[in-house]
Amino acid sequence: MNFSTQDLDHLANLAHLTFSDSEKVAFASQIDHVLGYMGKLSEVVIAPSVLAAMPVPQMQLREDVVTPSAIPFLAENAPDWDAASNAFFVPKIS
Amino acid sequence: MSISQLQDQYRRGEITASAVLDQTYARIDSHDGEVKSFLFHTRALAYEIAGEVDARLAKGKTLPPLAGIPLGVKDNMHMSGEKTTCASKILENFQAPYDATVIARCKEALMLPIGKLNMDEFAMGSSTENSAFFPTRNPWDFSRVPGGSSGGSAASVAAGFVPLSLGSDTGGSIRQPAAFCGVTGLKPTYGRVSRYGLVAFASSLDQIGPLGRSVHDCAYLLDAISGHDARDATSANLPATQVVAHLAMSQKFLKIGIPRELIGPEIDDAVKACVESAIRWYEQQGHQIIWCDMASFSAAVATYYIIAPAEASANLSRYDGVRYGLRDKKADTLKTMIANTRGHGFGAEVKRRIILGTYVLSSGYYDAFYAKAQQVRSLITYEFQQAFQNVDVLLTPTAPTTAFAFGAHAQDPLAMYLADIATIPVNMAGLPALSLPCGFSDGLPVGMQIIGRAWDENTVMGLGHQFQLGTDYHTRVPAIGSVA
Repeated sequence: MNFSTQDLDHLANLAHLTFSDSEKVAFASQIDHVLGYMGKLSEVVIAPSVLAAMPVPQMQLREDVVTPSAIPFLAENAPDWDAASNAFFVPKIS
Repeated sequence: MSISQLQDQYRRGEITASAVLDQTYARIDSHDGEVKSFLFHTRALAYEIAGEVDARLAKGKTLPPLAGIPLGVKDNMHMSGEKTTCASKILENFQAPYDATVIARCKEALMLPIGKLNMDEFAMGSSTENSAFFPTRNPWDFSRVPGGSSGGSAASVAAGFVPLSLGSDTGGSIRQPAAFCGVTGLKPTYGRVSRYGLVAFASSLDQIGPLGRSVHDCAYLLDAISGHDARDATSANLPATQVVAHLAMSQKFLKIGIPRELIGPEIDDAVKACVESAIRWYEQQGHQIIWCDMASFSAAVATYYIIAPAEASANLSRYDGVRYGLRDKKADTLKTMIANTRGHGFGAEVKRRIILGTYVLSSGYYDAFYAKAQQVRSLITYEFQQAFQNVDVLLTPTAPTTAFAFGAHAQDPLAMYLADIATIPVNMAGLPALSLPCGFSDGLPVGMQIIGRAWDENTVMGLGHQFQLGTDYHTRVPAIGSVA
């Protein structure tokens, strides 16, 4: 692999993260090392019969019933809450 | 003191729940300054429940089996009105709005919630060094880690602060700290215990389970927290387990499989010697030992560190500073606020895994990494299925080493990831697995792992219980309070 600080910048933008300049160098090197190790997966050969034999996990969905919401707790935990309009305040979009 | 001993004392009227709490907090206040297993205590709630237990005792009413038993809780499970921090700055002041199902069931059982326990931030780590607040120390040697991510859960039991604790296990986070701290820990079958109210890390792998001084004690807690919950779509439609009752029955002779891949050169000689000694012990009891090959295990760590970060990168996208948690208040646009909040609020390991997850899910890399990892996960599950046609359980070391020193893997995340080599395959296949002490090396506990078929906690715990009836490793305790 050859994971660079530019790659990290791109992914940080996708993931809504920030890194300091010193973090960037260390992270890029560590992630490059880890991704290199992941490369061993390409060596694993899997017979199609194995994949076909695997059941798809099933989830049990409950009825879509409206239950009381937790507005008081929203207010308690919100960084910026407007009680008059029951709304979160955020900075302008751009 | 074991659960059975505490139950006997309650039955004979020799103790009250309030007195048990007084003693519990006195010991924690005296010694947790050194161990640092608790993030905070929940005294008001614990004394409120203790009052109810004592009132019922005074009236001569029958109590549930775990009534009046102190419980520590990993700080990624919601306890209504208390904080849930996940040992992260981003949730430092978050108040849980409801009880996780496991907490509701423990309250119903009249257990005494002592406090919330330290962990690696968002359960990402194998040492509890990734807690944003402070590292927890191993009660057997304060210069060493307790393991992780449920390091506080294991250390609090090992130090004798609580007889039982709850942990969560995504790749070994109950079993590896249990091994490092010389206690018993169970990762139940995926779907056995509700995850409702557990803060999600990797949803297809996360599972809550008990840690305690013995298999018998853990069985009590599993029986209390298991069973179907409509609020978790992955909760199996099965009744609660009855493992305690099963443990009272005589042990059958079993076929015990030993995967060659997990008893090879990557395992320390001292760990190997303890596990081999346990294998011989089981053989002497009449069980049949069968060596087997699990070739896909060699790819399990790489598979896990693709799937788990991928799921984590999605699960952790909810921490955006808008609805709860930390917010960067200096930013003047929404996008900058979200990025700065997350950049400052998450620690290094969490950021590393979000980046890894974002990478393996991104255009151009998805098939080579994520899709391939899902296929290898199927292969691992298939190999387990094949193995369980010939054996009843698999026995392995829990971790390749005993507890390592603080900072040993600080600059090398991959070395830390490889410490999960024996535990990760189990989560991939959603199976139950138990870690229990099987020896000591240089004064540090060694753990072995018993893996069973899906939903077969009875066999796994039965075999572990048999070992603990015939050995005393689980009864040994560190010299907290008398030795520095």
